[in-house]
Amino acid sequence: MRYDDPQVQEALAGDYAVGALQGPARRRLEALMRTRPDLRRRVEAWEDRLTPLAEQTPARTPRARVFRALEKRINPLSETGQSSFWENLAFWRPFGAVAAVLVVLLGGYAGFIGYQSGQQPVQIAETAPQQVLPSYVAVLEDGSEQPALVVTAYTGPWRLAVKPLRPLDGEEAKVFQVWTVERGNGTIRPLLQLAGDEQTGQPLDKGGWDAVKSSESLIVTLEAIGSAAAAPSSPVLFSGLCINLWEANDT
Amino acid sequence: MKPMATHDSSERLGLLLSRCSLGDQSAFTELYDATSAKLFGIAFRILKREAWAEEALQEAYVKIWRYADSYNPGRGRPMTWMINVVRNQSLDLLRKADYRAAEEEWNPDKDGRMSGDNPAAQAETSQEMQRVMRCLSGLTDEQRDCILLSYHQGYTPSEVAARIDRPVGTVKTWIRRGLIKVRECLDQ
Repeated sequence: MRYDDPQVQEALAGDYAVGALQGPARRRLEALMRTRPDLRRRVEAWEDRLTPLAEQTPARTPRARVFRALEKRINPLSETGQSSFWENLAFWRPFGAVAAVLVVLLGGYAGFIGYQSGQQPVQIAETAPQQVLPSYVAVLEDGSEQPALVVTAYTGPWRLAVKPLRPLDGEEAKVFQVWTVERGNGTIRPLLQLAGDEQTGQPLDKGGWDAVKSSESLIVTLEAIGSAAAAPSSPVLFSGLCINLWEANDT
Repeated sequence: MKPMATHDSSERLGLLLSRCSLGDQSAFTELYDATSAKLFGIAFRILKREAWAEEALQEAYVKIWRYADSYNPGRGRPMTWMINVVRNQSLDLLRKADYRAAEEEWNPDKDGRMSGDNPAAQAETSQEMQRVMRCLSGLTDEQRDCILLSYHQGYTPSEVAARIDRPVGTVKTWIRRGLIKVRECLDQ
């Protein structure tokens, strides 16, 4: 995997810390840091090295209104209608949760492979660790950028796993429908239905795999149980970039 | 509002962060008083407009308040952690809105080459800063300028390339080779 290469990690980490990584590449690295502690540590090491540069920046006193606004936002008794800002702060929290989820998913998939081949899962992990690595991962967030679920896709055989990160507020007689949004043209295709808050997974056929491969992002809407809608009929609840963990696009 | 000195304040800032993680709002006020001028200066340097820098600062402090418990003293000084929270917040804001402020002419002598040229300023810097500046002084002018434009101004490689009239690939190479040299120098 490209991101396993220490030189690639080091170069990306340096670019990120210095501020030279932009757009999708920056977002992709931030998403990867949530699931790759080794990469995150490299970024942190670079931030530590470069931070003394920032300390030479001349101080500048902010206007008093900044602190007044902050006071309202950190005071839990204040109802200022700013909860959306609070909910924007999703970046630091998900590291542990998402990493833990991926460990569970990988472990589960190792078991799946072991079952398929008649071997014990631990033997699979020892003999063919590469087989259990996901090819694609998407961390889907709500409108306030709070992580809601992780979708991972594996190859050999093609398989999809969905893990909610928190209880999802559904509606009676409705299911969470996961859709792919195709890169370039925005075509939306149904991928998987999620009945509740339980982790789920399913094999993918070639069409499903191709849809994941060509997707820019994944989205989730609420749809009626039993419906086979070709397009979402309700607002998007969660969305997230679908990241190919094997492709080189950053450098 | 007086910025904190570098060395003797880390312990106090760490304590204030610990209290913030327990919901102590008076600790947050102290923390803000002690650090906001430095952090606002950093946000302003990247965003170049007061209102944008204020927005970034506000968002950064909310993160600091809410995620104070994620600060790990074993990883580095509290100020390092907070500086990177505000830097990343400022860069996100800059890129999110595809915003470029009214261009402030960048002066490399003022911004990047103060080490060795400005003893008075250097005397006020921390030992860590002096080490980094010494390592930067070992780079070529191009490598140093590209790194400082990216770090201080939040310029992308494309923007740096346009500014210094060089190909983007060349700028990326200068940045990466420069960073490798800086790392090797700091590791010595």
